[in-house]
Amino acid sequence: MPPFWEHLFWNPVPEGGALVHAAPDPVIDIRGLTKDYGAHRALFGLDLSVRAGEVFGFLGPNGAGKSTTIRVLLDLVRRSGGEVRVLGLDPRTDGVAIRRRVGYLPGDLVLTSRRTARDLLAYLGDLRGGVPAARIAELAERLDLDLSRPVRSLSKGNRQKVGLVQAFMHRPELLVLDEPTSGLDPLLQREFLEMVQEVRAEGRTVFMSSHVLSEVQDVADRAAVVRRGRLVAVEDMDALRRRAARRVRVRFAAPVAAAEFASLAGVRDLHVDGDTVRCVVEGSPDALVKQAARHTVLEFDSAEPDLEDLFFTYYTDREESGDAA
Amino acid sequence: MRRSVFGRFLRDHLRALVGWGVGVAAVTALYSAFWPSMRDSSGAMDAYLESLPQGLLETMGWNSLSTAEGYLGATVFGLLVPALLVIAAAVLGARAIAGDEEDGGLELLLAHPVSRTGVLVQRFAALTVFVAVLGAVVFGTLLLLGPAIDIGLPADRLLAASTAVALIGLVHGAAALAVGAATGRRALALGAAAVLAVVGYLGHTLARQVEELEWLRFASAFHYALEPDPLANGFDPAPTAVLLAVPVVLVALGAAAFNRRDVGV
Repeated sequence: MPPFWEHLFWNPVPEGGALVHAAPDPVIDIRGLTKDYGAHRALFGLDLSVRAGEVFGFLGPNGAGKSTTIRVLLDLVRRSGGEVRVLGLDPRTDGVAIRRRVGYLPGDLVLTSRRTARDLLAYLGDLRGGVPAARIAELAERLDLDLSRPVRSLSKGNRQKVGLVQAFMHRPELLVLDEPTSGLDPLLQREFLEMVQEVRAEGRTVFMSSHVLSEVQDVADRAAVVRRGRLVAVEDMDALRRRAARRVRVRFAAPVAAAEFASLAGVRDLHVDGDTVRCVVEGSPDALVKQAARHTVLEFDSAEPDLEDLFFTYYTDREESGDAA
Repeated sequence: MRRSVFGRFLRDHLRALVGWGVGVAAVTALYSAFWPSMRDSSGAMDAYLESLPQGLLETMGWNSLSTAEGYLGATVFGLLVPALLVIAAAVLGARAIAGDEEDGGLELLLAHPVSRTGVLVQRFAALTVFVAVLGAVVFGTLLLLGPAIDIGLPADRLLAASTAVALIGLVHGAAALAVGAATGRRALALGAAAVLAVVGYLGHTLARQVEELEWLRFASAFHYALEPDPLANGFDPAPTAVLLAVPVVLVALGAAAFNRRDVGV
């Protein structure tokens, strides 16, 4: 964390005196969005607001309405009701203007061309007024994508890379990514998350969907959960992380008494077995660490907090008890 | 030069264009190559034709196989070349929107700063060029073979007839494109073009014999293209205008429906 005064020196008020933080308009603003496919209703009055410069995770099981919502943003699908603004514009009337400023990765990317990835990406770049070949090559290198192969012979993972390159290459103000990490191996997932972080560092916005929280939890500022066409929750990821429970195992040089740890703040499911303490810590492990420090600690293991469990069980319960309405 | 939707679509179908071009040239050359022997045996041929029922002759357009325009009109321009052009154009027209959508490629294209009408119009333009090239192949083949087989027809009449069959193709290609754009279904697009072609062909041939079916000819691209007999009479502006206007209207209707629906679901 930089010191609080840093922005006084490094973020001077721009000339003309405009305020940097004067409540910018949301980049995506959705109110009461409904969508019917014939008699089937896919979205039931969705409300969602994505702020400029944030990474927003859009979560939910398959078939919950994530892709439908995303397609409405790009005017591929027309809404049945409600209001939608993307970059301040209505997709129904300003689709072309919106798409010029947005990079989009389809959830189910199909590439059938016999031509090479380089050729396809140059063409897509030309539809946007041209993207330098060097920029395409740089992204391809980062993602380890061979540009000289015909796209239709590419594996699922490599096709996904082509999709990512075309979404990122023109440095759009807003990236809309539908299941971006599907098909990528863990190493490339990490590279992708770095690219997302760079986009955020430049003040641009990322809206990405996933059916699993773990794919977005490391990078998202906020996340929303959609289920059966309804928004179930919007959460600040830091707050969620603070609430998250982690498993801790501590081994001491000598046996310890269970009573020492039983009443510590946030500690539950305590098991003491001679010199080893196992427990679950909710929120900060501070109290546990300080108590443990009274003894000689040989080992200290802490598993990643499982946000997934917390996130989904919490909201499933709430929804089923009729609380979320 | 910047790549456009138009150029890309045409380039993506260059192989198909070469394939169809070779086929059209081969059929044109094969049939017209029989002309010299046909003319030499015209006495026997005419005698044989006279033995056939008059109705069949009119239906098939075999009225005068002993003249070059009669022979070419009945063979090259009567059925096979129009059929090839209709199939080529309908397949491409069905691919242009509906096929691309069913394959999953259209979603990515329409996520770029292009309008749906723009994509439709550019691909229609590519279809027009595609069909025009095939028409030019018919014309070029006859022009090249003409002296060798002694067709003896002036170039402008060959051009008028080639244009007429190309326009038959364009009408059916535009129908497939429009239905595909309106529905997003390749099978429907091809089906619509096939129905139009069958009805049109019957309207052109059978309706000559059956009075009750005469109205069909107004829905027949074959009628507008071939009834004025361009091989004998050259260009006829009125039916040519109809054949040019119909695709434009079809594409306009297709664009209106395309702009109102969801894509890729």
